[in-house]
Amino acid sequence: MGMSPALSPRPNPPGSNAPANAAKAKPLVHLLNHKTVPSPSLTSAATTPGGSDEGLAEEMNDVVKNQFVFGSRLGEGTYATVYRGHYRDDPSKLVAIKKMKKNTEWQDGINLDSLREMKYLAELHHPHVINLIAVFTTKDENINLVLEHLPRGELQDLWQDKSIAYGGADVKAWSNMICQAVWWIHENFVLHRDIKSNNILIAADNSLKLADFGLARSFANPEADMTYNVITRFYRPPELFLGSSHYGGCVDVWSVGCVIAELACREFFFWSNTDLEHLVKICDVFGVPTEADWPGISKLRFWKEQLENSPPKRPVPMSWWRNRMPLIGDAGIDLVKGLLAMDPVKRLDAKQALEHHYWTAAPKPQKRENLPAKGGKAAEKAMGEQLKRVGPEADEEKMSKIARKLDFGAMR
Amino acid sequence: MRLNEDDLYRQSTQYKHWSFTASDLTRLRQKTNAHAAAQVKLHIAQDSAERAKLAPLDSGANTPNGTGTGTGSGTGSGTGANTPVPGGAGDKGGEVDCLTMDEEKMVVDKFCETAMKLGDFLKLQPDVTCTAIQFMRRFYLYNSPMTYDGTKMSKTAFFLALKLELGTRAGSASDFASRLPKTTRDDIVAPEYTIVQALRFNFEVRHPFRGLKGVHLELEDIIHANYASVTHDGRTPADLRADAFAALQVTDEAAAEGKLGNIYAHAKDILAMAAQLTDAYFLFTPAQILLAAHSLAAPALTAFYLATKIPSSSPARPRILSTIQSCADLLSSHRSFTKNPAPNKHGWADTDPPETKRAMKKLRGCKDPTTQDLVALNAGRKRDVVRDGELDEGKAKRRKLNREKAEKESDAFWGPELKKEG
Repeated sequence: MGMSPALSPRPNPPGSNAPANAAKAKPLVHLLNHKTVPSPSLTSAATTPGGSDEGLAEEMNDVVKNQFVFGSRLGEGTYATVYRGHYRDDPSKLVAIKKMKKNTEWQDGINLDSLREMKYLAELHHPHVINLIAVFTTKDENINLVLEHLPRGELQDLWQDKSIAYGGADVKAWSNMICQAVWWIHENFVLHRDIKSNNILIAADNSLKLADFGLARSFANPEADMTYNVITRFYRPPELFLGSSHYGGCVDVWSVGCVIAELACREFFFWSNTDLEHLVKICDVFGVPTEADWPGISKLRFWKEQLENSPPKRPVPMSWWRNRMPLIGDAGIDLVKGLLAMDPVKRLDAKQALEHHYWTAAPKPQKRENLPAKGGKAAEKAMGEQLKRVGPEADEEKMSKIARKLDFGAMR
Repeated sequence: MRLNEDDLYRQSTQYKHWSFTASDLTRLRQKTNAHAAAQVKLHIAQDSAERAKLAPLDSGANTPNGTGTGTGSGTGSGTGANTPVPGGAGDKGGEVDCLTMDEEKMVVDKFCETAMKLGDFLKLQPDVTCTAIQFMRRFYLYNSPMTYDGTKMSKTAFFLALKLELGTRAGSASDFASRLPKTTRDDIVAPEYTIVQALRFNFEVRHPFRGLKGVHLELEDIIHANYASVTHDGRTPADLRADAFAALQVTDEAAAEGKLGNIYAHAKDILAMAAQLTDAYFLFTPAQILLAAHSLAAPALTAFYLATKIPSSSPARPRILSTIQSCADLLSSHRSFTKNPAPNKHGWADTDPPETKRAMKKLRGCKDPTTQDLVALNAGRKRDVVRDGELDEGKAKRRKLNREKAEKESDAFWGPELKKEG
């Protein structure tokens, strides 16, 4: 065969993959969860030159790949296609396989969102963070992320579906799971930077899973600048609208406050059409912050043009809160207000949120098996729709355009 | 709900996939070396056989692709033409002399040194450079430098590290290529899949720098008598300051501050060089590495610092101290290590030890001919895996020219050192 040496290093010569590796696949169940990998057998590789003309890394990849079987397609987007899949040795164990499309237009190699998602999910194993089970490449060099199968859709669909009734105990259970997830990622020095109810998925056992780490990053060194163009507008904290480029877990905590408030009142808590309008909406609830209640605010980049000349405004009274979110009671309202403190320094951190008296006040959080949920094909499809999005980058670009407009003042 | 830092570290991929005992590490390298050597011998032999078969056909034509069969020249044998080995090995009719495991390690160390200098040259943040170097070290646990060229891989490893550490601020691959001597965007992007696969899609590298800074800040608090934590032995902030002064052999705060600054800078240099260029990351945790570096920079002060954390009665104490010591031994065994901070930090790297020179020279004779042209390989994979080996003449020619150009250019960049010896 004249051509074989020339083509040899491809990762997956046709016909050589399945049988040889299927046997090896058994002992290795979750590649990511094992310290030692049964290294591909060297002798067989060296003595059967025709069949296994691959490096150790390629063989390792095949071992992982052969553990999974692709099933029906759940959703397709610009950047990824999501399939239902299962373990080869146990078809009842379902997974979702997110196949990242290889964009030939993409000039800079593997896109940043995929890299970030792989980087952070590989480190963050927690019952309320979507589990990245394995990653492998296929012969066309597509990267495939094997994720846990979360058939019950997005949290946002759940609160929006008015045919589903839920109460205070349910909100408490959901809220607690979200707070645990955020506490865990912050303990691991990771910021999510896009927490919202359609990035939270629901597992078959009704537990919630934080997903989409395409905008995540590690806590920065104190002196390093970060972008303030992150987090979907409805969930973005005031300091980012004001152009703060030094922040920590507090930005995620604000988003969590928005999600819990959303669950409690079954609508977007802050709703707006533009970034400028959004800050006004926040001030409508909490008043216009001043140097007195938020020391340092006047030093933020966009404070002058956005807030300096705003007429003073007082926060809404407690009666407004009780009226808007009766489901969570005074204790729940106190938690939400703590998560939504305008001054990031005064905002609760994730650990303080978990220590809040809301969790121990009546009613007790709903037992997981009794939580209301959507189900069926539609919800599973919703998972596919959610996972295939690699949207934040596009959003970020949109946002940066707006931000450039905001920066106008600074340029003059 | 209190999380132990050790528990958190054990969750990391660095612990799960990239920490080894010394013997595991050796075994893995042996396996990689043996596998690669077998492939190199096989491919070089196939390459020579192809060449021999083609020779009669080529005799009249001046391009090797004169005939339609072409032998998949885009990826394989064409590259072989530029590597000196196949002919030589074929002539001798003997075995190709492959690198041994130890030689491979020397070569990888050399590549990492060059990467360190490259990072310096590009004025990249230390985090980016060190992540790139660790990517290289991880990559070459599962791949041999005979298979994948370290120069090419290091550029891609750098770009990957840039993307991961700087996000959207990393800039484009073309930008990065333009900052490197004679490198194209394709050179940067093509080997990326090969690298991420060998990295097992683990992109987080836990460095010891932040921990070192933490120790430094704590020591600063101590010498200013501001140390707020409670010590296990009931020493007051004033006692601690007095003991720290004694360890530093100073009598006032200003002198203590100056010395602390020097110690921090020295330890940081050890982390940026010796810790990157040895197996420290594979064998020790970030905390062990930073304490080892600190103890090399200031033994007495580090002993004092550790005593504030670990009671002398603690059963774990001997084990902790001996682990730090063995890490310190590893770091100080590296030729970059100096007892006092050197003014020319990278001066030691200007000359290579003779055995490294020998290994680098030997490498030129045992490169796998099928994996040298990564851009073409990648393009081939992207288009379709199964290609019938036919390329139209123009394309093949252009590729060959590109390839030769690329090789010449890389010689221009990495040349001086090689030329000296050859």
